Amino acid sequence: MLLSQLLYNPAVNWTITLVILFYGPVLVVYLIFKLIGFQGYMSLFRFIEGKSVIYRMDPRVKILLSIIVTTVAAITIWWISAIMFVAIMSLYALLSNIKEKLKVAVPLILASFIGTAWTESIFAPYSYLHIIFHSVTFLYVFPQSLAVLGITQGTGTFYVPYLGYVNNPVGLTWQGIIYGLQITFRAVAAIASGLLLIFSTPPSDILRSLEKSGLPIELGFTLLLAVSSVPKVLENSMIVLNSLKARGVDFRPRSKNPLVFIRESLFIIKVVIMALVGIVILTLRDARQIAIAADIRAFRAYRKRTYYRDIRMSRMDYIVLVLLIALLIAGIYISGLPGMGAVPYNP
Amino acid sequence: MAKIIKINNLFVRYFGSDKPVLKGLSLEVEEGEFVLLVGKTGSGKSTLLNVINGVIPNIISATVKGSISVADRDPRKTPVHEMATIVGTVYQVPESQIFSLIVDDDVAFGLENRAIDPEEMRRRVVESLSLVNLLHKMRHPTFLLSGGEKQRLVIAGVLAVKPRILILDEPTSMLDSVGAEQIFGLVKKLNDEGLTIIMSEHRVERVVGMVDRIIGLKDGTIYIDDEPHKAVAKDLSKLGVEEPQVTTLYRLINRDANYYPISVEEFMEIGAASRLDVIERRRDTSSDPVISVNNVHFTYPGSTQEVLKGVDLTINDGEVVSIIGPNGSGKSTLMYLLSGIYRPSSGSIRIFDYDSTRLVGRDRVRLIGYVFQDPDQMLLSSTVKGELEFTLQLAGIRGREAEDRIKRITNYLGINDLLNQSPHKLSVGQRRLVSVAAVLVAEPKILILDEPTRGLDNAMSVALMDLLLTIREERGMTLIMVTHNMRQVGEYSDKAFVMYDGRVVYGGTPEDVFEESHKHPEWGISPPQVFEVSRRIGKPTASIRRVRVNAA
Repeated sequence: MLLSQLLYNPAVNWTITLVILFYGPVLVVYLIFKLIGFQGYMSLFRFIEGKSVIYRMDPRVKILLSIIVTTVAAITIWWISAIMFVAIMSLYALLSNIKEKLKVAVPLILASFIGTAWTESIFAPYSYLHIIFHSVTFLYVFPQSLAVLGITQGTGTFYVPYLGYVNNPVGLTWQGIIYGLQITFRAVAAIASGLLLIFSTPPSDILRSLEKSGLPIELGFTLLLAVSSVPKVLENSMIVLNSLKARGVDFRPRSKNPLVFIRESLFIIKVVIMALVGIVILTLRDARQIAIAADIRAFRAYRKRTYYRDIRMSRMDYIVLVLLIALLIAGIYISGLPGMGAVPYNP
Repeated sequence: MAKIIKINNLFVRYFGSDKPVLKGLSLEVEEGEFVLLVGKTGSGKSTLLNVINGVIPNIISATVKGSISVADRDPRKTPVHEMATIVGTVYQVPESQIFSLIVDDDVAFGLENRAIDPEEMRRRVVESLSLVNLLHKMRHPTFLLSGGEKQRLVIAGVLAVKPRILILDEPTSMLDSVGAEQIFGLVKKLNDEGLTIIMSEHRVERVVGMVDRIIGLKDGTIYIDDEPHKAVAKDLSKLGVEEPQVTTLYRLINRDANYYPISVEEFMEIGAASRLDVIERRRDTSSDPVISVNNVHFTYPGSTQEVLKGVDLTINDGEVVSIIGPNGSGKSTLMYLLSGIYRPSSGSIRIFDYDSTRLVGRDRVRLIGYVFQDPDQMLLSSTVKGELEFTLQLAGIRGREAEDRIKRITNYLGINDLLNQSPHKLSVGQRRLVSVAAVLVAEPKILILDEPTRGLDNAMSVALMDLLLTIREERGMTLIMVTHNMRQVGEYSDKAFVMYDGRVVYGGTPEDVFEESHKHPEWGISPPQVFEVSRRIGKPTASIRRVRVNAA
């Protein structure tokens, strides 16, 4: 009785609700910025040479690997994705300098895990949950008005622990959590396979192989420029933010007075916009120079291009290719079996 | 020797401008020559270089009149990429000339575009990388290279198509002294192997000894064209260009020579050194410390590498202090800590009587100002006035007082007519002044300047430094400069601290530091000529302003 009064006291109820509502996005941002940080992002592009099979594979096969894994994950039941995820993570053992790579991969995977689990668990439509699990148990009920956000709302009367019977409750359900966790395996299987490609292939080889498979060189070059400007943009952002800090900008509103707090927050938003403009100017001011340098180096001057590195399919690549096609066919077949597909209502 | 470049009566006028940049310029360059091109910002150096490689008018629109022949071709009528197989070009900013994430891929980029046979291509990549001494970093990410290495990579990419002429447009203006030395050494080596070189460069003293000829531009025409010893006789400072200090010294002794020394050795051989006398450095009466750094360690958040490994440092009130040392030694990081952007991981920093970590917000802004290296990193408002008001707002200064301060500082720096303009449309020199004004308007007691004169020509650098010194004199500020320019260190600072590998390894007067630097080549410090000369006559001074001539 005491617990129920405490848990569903309006102030406590709102606090718990807000925590549940916001932990997802906040944790995702935290993981990405705090754990990976600028250094981590740099290491995403810091390709380190390796000797194992995974490095010797044709980039096109690796691209196909992530496409097929993503497709199969999308069309089959969740535990197939979970198996694929585990299988791909075991391939990480073939990477050199594994520790540094996991430092980036784990927070990224965790972030997408939490992010997806969060959206899918409290926003899962009740009708889905009902069809999949037949009965739905509400663990904690939010203020009714939040139904407009699209949070799971039961139809009928439900028994909620510490609260009793509630009509059309809005809140967190046990089945929602399970559903969310299951769906996340799809996302992480796709992300893990994409990261595997990035970790084991020099970026320029990815582009060369895309060009060889018919991607227009202009598009490839734009991608290359975009990717190679990331470190510079990150560096510029850091310097601009530091220059603002040096001038006394405090990027955290500190006042306890709510009005001042809001004013401080608005000021910070204004400063961040200023900073963005500055970063864009810093990044773009060399654009003409880049264009000249590209022309001097004969970019697009001739129709024919040659490739610095041989991108050729080896026997092993063909074997992997056959396995991948088998996986795709198996995936399509399984998805057609009763209760094994992802649609209409299987998670 | 054959003339490889023949230019006659060249006029260049940019599209949309009514005044020509080059006015009737004529020039011949022999194959294998090393030409140094000097002149103020805006004198037409870059324009001339871009005419030779055909970028003007093929990419940058301009009206070009006169006859131009580069290896018997007219660059105006030859596609730029074809000209590039004859004339290789290296510009200022290495980052905007690098296209790949991995070193060898970048060298290959131009060759892939030219559809060079893969076997041949791989041979040339290795050859070019070994020429610039980067072969050991072949599979290295490009963005992790140092500035000097990046610029060497750019040169490798240019050399891979085997040009006969190499054009370098201020190739070292973005580099530290170590990086600049690498480039100069490399360019000299390439010239010795027969490549024709045309280089524009502000650091005349560093390169004057290796070139065959100096061409000085003024107002779009050639003002000086001679071999170095005779060229410097015509007083480069009139072009807004630095001249070797030994030339200045010799001019004190002999005003009308037509042949001047350019190196310390030549100056000593002439035997003029004995005529020089040096005024002793005024030993300052000791003042109170305004900054004391005690055993500070620092590691960037999210990194495991310690950047500062126990820094100790004391700076006294009213001093001008230079912080020197190679890139990556922790200079900028230390400045970040002093200005409160980061907190030390351990150790303490005291500023005046405050613990640095407690000093926040407006209190800090009023005590310490920090002018960043590149004005574009600081100028974020849409008008100059807005930029100054932004600082005042953060310092909590409003109303009349704010107006007065804006008026005062802009009058001081001579930028009061720019108040309503956008900072981004101003010239390099003006932007620099605005960035200084944006910090000085809060009237801080300590001013930190990161490479205050980078990107400025000699005339502008001298003007800015003199201005800062005057303001310091009148307002009693403490100045801390991070710099690679040893002439500036010698000329302006009371003290210099050398940082190396995350520590302050030496501190003292510029003379002490330069003397010590002879024992530590790893510091990458090459003392100015005036120090080397005065040291040999037993009266070492780092500042040419303290040198006098004895009556004969």
